[in-house]
Amino acid sequence: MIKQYSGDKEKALRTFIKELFEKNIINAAFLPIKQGETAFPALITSAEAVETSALFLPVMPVSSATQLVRLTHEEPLHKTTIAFLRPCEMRAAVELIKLNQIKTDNLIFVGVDCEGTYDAKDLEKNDIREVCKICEFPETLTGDIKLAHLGLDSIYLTPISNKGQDLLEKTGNLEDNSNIEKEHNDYIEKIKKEHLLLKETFLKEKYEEVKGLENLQKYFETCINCHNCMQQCPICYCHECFFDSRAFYFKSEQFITSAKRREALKFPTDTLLFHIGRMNHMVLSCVNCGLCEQACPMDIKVGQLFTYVNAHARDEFGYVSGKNIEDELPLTTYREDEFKNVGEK
Amino acid sequence: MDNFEPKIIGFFCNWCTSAAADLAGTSRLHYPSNIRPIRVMCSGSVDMSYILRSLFQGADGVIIGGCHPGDCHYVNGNFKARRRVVLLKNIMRSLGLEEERVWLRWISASEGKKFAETMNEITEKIKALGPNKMGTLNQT
Ligand code: SF4
Ligand code: SF4
Ligand code: SF4
Ligand code: FES
Repeated sequence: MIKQYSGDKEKALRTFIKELFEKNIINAAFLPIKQGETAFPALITSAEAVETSALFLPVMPVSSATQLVRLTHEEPLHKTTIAFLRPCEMRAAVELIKLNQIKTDNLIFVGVDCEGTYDAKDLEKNDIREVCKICEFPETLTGDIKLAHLGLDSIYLTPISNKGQDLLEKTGNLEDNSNIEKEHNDYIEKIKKEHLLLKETFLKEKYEEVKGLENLQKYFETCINCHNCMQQCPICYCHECFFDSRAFYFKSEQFITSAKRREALKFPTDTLLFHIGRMNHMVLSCVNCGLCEQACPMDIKVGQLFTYVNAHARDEFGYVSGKNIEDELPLTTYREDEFKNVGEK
Repeated sequence: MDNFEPKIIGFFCNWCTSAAADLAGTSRLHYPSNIRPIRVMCSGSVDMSYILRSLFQGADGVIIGGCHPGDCHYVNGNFKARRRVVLLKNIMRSLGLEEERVWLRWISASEGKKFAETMNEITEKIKALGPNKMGTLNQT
């Protein structure tokens, strides 16, 4: 069953949200609004405010999932709030919910189709970001409502949970429209297929680019250790990152000893340790959004590297980040009867 | 390289492998002085960053010693440690780093002999691998 709004996509979206406000179905909406040339997520509480919405502008300066952590940190929302997220933001939200970082009471998640976004700091560049070109999830996997629009003339809302069903039913009748569903599905499958092929090549090329110490060092050569990548990563939610902690302060003599072992000890120290250490903490939950890379002032392709490492870790643990709220976080659980080759001879 | 003496850091659980090391000592079982033991409260308390830092700061090999499956004093620390080590090795493989330098073994408090044998074994294997270049890189 589908709820359809016709016409220009952004206008159709506004009609939908206005209707929700006017019929008192929602108290607030969380969605991108225009900010200069780009768009940032915003909380709006009236039908009028929806006029600046920019849900279909292909740009993602921050992850809405991260913002929902802040929004619900102190207490859950009191009244119904509808939040619009891209598939990678929705996947990040799923991981954050599992990590007890988003309180979902009264939150309705709408997962919105996405065909890729432009680099928020280089909008002139007429090309979507590299991680978007290999993204396997152009439509949402979870949430309460799916907002389909890719390959379609307007927007189509499908409930994917009871909460979503309830909300959509309050707006009026849902229609059966299997033609639209098929059209959409064909389009999504086509993108997925193309992206999967590109990803295969990407994984091979990334290995060649990064393998071994020399290459790895080169990859991160210009890292200034600012930790912006970690700050913007939706999965790195820790209030104090371990790598910012006192555990990484050392005595001068320890630096001297370390320097004696090499030609020179480059400062800032412990940058590779930070990146590989961070991977060990969170790469299984990495949603390949590339926001780390977008935030890097030195243009290090850090999101590509995490996406590459995630692909192999995903295979070993059989865990696809953000796919299913029921799948246990791999590092918080275990099976007695697994990985026997590690621990024993 | 014949006289290469590797440095190997051992993160040994207080309740099992550390006790096994003591037992090996008092039983006069020989094991190489290449092993630098660090006592930890549980194999599950070791963040993989410490393993990585050891490797970046001149360790040629690292071994975590924990209680046998089912025997962890904190119920499942060893099982969680195993998953972390599997992930670390997976990441190292992806990056083309030598995951063979990272070991995990279950050695109980009464297994003094197994302790000595394992330490001899890892020392031989790491010797064969040669010095760890992560420890001489300018960038850490
Ligand atoms: S590591 Fe980078 S690509 Fe992965 S979730 Fe974090 S920000 Fe996104
Ligand atoms: S790197 Fe680790 S400690 Fe730091 S924010 Fe990410 S998950 Fe937390
Ligand atoms: S954002 Fe870039 S420069 Fe800053 S720590 Fe991350 S990789 Fe290094
Ligand atoms: S107490 Fe020994 S491994 Fe947990």
